[in-house]
Order: sequence, then C-alpha cells, then structure tokens
Amino acid sequence: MNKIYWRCVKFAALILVISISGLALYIHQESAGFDPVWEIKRLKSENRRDDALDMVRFFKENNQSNPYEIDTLEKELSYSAAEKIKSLVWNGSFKGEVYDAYSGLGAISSDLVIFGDLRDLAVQSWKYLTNDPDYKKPIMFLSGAGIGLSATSFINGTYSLAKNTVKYVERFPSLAEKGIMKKFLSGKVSPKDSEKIYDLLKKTS
Amino acid sequence: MSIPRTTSCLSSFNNINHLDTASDLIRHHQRTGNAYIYLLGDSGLTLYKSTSHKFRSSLVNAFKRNPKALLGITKSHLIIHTVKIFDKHGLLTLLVPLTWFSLIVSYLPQWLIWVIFLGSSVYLSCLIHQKFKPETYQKRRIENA
Repeated sequence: MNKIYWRCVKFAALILVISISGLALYIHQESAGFDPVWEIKRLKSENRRDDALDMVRFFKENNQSNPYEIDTLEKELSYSAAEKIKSLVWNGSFKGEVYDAYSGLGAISSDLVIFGDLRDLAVQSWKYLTNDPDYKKPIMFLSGAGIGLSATSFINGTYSLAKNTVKYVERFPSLAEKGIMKKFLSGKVSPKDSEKIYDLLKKTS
Repeated sequence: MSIPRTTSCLSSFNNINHLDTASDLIRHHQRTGNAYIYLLGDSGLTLYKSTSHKFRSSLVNAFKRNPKALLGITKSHLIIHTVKIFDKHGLLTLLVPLTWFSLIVSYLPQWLIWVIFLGSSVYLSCLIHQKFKPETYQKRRIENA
C-alpha cells in the first residue's frame, strides 16, 4: 500500500515538474521577441506619447533596458514646463481642443465649471448654422447635456470625459474600435460603470 | 500630440468587469500599473484579479523584475484560452499556483530549464516503461536465475 502511495506521489510530482518547466520554456519562447526600445518607439509612432513616457520611466526605474537608449528616449518624450502650461491652459481650458493628457485635463476642468460646455455649444452651433463640415453632433449634444447636468458634478464629469474623448477619437478613428472605448462611445455603459470610468480618469490624469 | 492615458487605458482591455481591477492597479502602483495594463491587457488583469490580495504586490514586483516572463504568459494564445476556459468554470484559482511556479522557474537560465524538463521527462518515461512491462522483467529475472 505504501509502495503504491509513494509511486503515485512520484508520478504526480514528475508531471507537475514537467508542466512547470514546460510552461517556463514556453514563456521564454513567447517573450523572446520583446524589445522595450522597439515597444516604446511603436507607442510613439501611434501618437501615444504619454504611454511611451510611462514605459520609458518604468523600464528606467527597473533597469530593464539599455540605459543610454532609454535616456535618449526620455529626453525626446518629456514635456517641458511651457509645453504643459500651454497644453493645459490654452489648448485645453481655453480652446477646448484635446491633443494630449494635459489638454484633456484642461478641457474637462473647464467643462466642470460650465464654461467649457458653453464654449463648445457656441462653437458647434456656429458650425451648424454656417454648414461647416467640421460640425459634430455628439459634441453639441453632450455640451447641452453637460449644461443641463451641471449641478451634478459626477454625471457632468462623465459627460465631459465622453465629450472630450469624442473630440479626440475623431482624429484617430481606430481608437474607437478598441476595448471598452467602443462600448463607452456607443453609450452602452451602465451608470455604475460610467462612475468607474470617471474614477479611472481621476487616477490616470 | 498624444492619446490621453485614460483613452489608451480604456482601449487596452475589453472586459468591462476589469474596470475595478484597472483602477485598483493604478491606485496602488501608478506608473507600473499603467505599464502593466498597456503591456498585458485583459489577460494580465485576469491574472491580477485571480491572485489573492496578499500576493498582488508580489505579482507586480515580479512584473517589475522580469516583464518578459509575464508577457510570455499573457501574450500566448494557448494560455489565454486555457485561462478563459478555467475562468468560465470557476477553476481559475487552480491555474494560479502553476503560473506562479512557472514564473519562478522562468528566472532560471534557459539551458537549466531544458535540463529539468528533459531529465524529468526521461525519468517519467522510464517509470511508465517499467510499470507496463513487469512481465518481461520477471521473465528475465527468472532466466538469469
């Protein structure tokens, strides 16, 4: 009985060791082609400068790549103070144009104090009246909703996020087809999940 | 011009149930959390969610030390489908210890993993061979005697 028990344990242990080492070999093989520098350059070419900068700093902090190349990329991707202020105040808060995280933050902040909604509603109304091809119905609708819901900061914030995402996504339509963005922009997200997205916005900004 | 972080984060995963996990990851690990989501996507979030709270920081630390190992796990279609099937039947926790051990073993040099793999395979095949050929051995023993 003891012999059978010992044999079963030996078989199970061997199968476990083979599975673990096989999986480890598979992991090695699957990740062999990963190059941090190439990945950062890919993000940069996809207009994901903020993501690329995060990746550069992540790889730098954890010494995961060639330090010289990483330093060069960091210098290339970093925002200067003037660039940040211009993006936040001029592009985002004042003009309501979203180019990056800073201008997005500025645009959302201006929406939270109604100014942004009034500005976008006025701009879109003018475009509608003059038959401008740049007229965007969703932005006009969300601005109106934002003004109507200005008393409720969370709902207004979510509308503002949706509106500014629409502004951005129209420049990169492929983004709208990816992940949760597709559901979010088509309005198929429940109020509870919208709250979570708003929470995510506060953490990623 | 750059795609804002929230937008790219939302386009990195498909499962709406991962919103809480993504928020939790970014709240606790900020930049590393962002890098984790961009690189590992849905599968990485499933792995993070299925890991108990005690070991979540260890998982992120493992990602910091060797992002390639976790990338290997989450980018493989075979593993993704296995995770999905186990998740569907509520058996994902069974897969987590195996993944953890594989992650630890993947820190070893590749030649050593090959030695372990081949050594155990050969030993197992010998055991199976012995198990299913008892009569031949007995006959030989009798003949030798």
